[in-house]
Amino acid sequence: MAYNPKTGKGLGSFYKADRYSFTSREWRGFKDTFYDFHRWLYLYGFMAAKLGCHPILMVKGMLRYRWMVSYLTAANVMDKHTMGLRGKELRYAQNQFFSVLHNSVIGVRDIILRDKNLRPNSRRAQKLREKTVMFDEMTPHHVMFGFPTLKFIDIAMFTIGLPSEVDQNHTTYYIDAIEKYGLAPDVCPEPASECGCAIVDDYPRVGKCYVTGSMPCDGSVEQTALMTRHFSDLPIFQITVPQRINEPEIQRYAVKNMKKCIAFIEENYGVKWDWDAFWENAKMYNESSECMVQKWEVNATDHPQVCGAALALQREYEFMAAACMDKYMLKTDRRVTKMMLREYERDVKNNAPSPKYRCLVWACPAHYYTNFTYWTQHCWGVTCVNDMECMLSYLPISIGDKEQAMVDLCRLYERMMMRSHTNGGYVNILDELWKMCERFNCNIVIMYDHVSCKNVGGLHGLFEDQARERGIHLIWIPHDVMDPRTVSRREMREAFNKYMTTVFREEPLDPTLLDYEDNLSW
Amino acid sequence: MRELKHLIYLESLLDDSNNDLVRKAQAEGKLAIGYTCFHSPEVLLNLGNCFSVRLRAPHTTSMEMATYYLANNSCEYARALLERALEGGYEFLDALAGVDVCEANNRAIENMEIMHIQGKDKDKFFYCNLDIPYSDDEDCVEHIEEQITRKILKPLHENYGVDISDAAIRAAVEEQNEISRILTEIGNFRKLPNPPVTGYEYAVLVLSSYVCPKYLIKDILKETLEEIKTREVDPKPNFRVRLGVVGSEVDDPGLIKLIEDCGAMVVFDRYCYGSFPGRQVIELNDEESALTQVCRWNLQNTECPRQCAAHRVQRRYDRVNQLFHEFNADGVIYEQMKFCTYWSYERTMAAQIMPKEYGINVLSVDRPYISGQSGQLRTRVQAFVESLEIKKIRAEQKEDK
Amino acid sequence: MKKKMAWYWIVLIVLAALYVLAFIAYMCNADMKLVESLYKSLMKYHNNRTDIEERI
Repeated sequence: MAYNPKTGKGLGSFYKADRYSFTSREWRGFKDTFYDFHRWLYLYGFMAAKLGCHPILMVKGMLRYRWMVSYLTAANVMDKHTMGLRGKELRYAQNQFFSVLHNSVIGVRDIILRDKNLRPNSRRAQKLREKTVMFDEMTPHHVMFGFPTLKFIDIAMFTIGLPSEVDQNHTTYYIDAIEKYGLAPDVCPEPASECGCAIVDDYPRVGKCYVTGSMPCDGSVEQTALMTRHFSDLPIFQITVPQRINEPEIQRYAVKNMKKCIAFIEENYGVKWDWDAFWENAKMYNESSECMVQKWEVNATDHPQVCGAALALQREYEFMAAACMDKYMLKTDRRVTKMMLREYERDVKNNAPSPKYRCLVWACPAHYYTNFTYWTQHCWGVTCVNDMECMLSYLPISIGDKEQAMVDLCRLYERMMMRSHTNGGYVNILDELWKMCERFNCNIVIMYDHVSCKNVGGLHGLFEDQARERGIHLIWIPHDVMDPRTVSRREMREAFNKYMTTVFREEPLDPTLLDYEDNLSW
Repeated sequence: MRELKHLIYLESLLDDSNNDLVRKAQAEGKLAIGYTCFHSPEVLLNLGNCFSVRLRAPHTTSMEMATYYLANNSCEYARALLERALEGGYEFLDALAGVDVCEANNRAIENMEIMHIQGKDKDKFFYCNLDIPYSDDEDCVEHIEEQITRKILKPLHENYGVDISDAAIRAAVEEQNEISRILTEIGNFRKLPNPPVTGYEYAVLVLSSYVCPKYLIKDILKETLEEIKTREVDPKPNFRVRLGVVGSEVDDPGLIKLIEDCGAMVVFDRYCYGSFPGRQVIELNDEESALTQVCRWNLQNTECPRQCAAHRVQRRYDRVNQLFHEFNADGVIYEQMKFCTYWSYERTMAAQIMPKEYGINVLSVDRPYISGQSGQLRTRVQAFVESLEIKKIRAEQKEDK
Repeated sequence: MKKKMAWYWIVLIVLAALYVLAFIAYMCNADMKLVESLYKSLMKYHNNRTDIEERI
């Protein structure tokens, strides 16, 4: 428990209204503090090893790209997500988040080494670009399973997606840029900021071709149209997976479209689809999915282990940014799963206390407040046992059967982040929620009310009606996904506080977390 | 100009989705198939004893119930439809052919489905959500054909015994082509310097062809065409500039009236519920199945920004440019239904691209569902008309010099 | 005669001192405070860039 009733100090004391950073780090007891300290040293050591050897490129990158500046705050990502955690929870979170940072640091290095804007005359960069495929954020990269000699870089993830979770104010500039261009402010800030980034020409040029897609929502489709224009000097392929993903009949078109994408890459890079590599990578995907399912199964019991953002964000990045092809992430999966099973058994044996409240997180979360569920845990004792964002495709790819494997590959696209729930009809998001509430034994749902999302918003009333019928507490938390100016973190907390005090008549576990100013903090 | 003989009657048909002609057709044993979007091929909803009704929610005021069920930032068109549905306004329908094209529309129809807006004792009623591809190649055609066969034709046949044969499709195409020929002929008068039909009148004619049974509206349209052919025009045109309207769904002719009241003439209507696309002749050959050809025609002629493939985006700009020159327009109003994500992006891009790359003056606006009385919109259109007029005068002065 | 300290002791002391300094920096969040000032100046630099405005 981080709150000290004698001194009146708690986790809220680490925030200061005029600061981006925390006032200091938390003393978690000798063992945990030194564990965290050593992880901190390791993170800096890793960053120094991977990025420190390119100091000029790093400086050039910081001066050329606004988004690159946000990466300076990497250590803060760890702090904001691990604050208040102790023991096994601290270790799960450290491992999970470090694997995300590990992948990102390598990604940033790969970008600066290849970028045409930073290294216009470098032959080495040119050579690297010849072997790199650029991807859009909302287009999974699993098609690269069969191209082991090529590299893929998700340019939108590294410029918008990830920095927006690292630094809450990161995207506001890009949103303003596209709105200045004339875009209505009511659309989702995620594709809008990606478009804004294109308008101000802030995308790195790191590959020879660009693969994009018509992914989860209307905004994403239009972002694809705009980005296609932005990269009109490059060969472009749009993966256009069907919407009604529950219908088996749509797979015929999906497979054809995927095969066209494969042919596009083969043609443009002069390489051949490699089934051996595909099976290897498919096995990695299968194993990582199995680890994920194990985490869900444990979280469905009275002793949930890997909870909150540590569960959701890691899977999100493993699936979306790394396409389950990152060996380090898989290693982390194995390590955390092993640790989790051991701790679970110990908890059962010791009859350890269960969380005070269990909740599910549903709908699209706020990028600028990824540690919101940690806040609910520390302030109110509401532990998030699962999150819609990590409920991505988990069914295995059939190894050895080439035709079925293609269908399975398409399913990864159909069941990617957000899309797995927001596409294919209301059953995937509305009916699915009630099933998950039962599965995870939850009667509280943190319902993210993304104020610009017309998709989930379109079922608002039905969620309300059906939750009431089932006696489930839907706690609507408004946010604007990437624009904290519309709904601030503080306002998000206020919505939760109100529900807890008025409906549950609860007292906060840490009163310093009840209300504090963090509009500036990363 | 003298008022058109049938104008008041046609306007009255637009006052309610369940209008006189719809009721008459249903009394004759016909089936009313509701739809909202161009992507549900209209012609396939007019097979055998079926007739299509493109859904509208005229005279909508409050949308409180729909705002509760959808989000308050959902497209007003979708919300208005849901509101009308919850009020029981679409209970007359026998099926609803929906599309999963845009989020708001899709969710509105899903809400209708869950809340059974068709009323009681309608065992044969069916809903569908077509999966529409994002481009127009042959794989997309095959995909949409499968969707339509499974989700529309099969239930029409199985639930209601509707003839869905190739011959029936060809007959429906021919009937729709007849309507399209009449409306195209009327629409072409708008190319004249002093047209014998106003943009508002044309909007009413086109709209009524979408919401009434074809076989009942055909003669009225024919008669109106003859009337327009011999209609005496005012000696001097009573407009100052010629405009095209491009954008999302406009099912309220009041918007066109508002624009024309500001001193403009709407010479082409490139919006959903307008004549481009939707009122062009569908040419069929005998070699291929009519269904495939209709599906292809629909995919290739849609102007929806949902089609994000580069060549489709380019085609939309080129199409507006083509209409602009064909109808001798002075400017284009890019309008979008408030909260429509697709058109929000399309309009933003077009407002930059059309003036720079095509030299076309653009007014870019978003608007509420019922916009005929919008003072803000009127002011903006007036300013646009004046700016175009000034440009025209300056250009003439330059020529004189 | 003062006995000269063995080199490994010196290394050990330096490392220990660095370790303590690093720990103090860690506890005080000095790294992030330093990053904060760097972040502020870089943001100021980006906000004042004029070449971007021309591209919009």
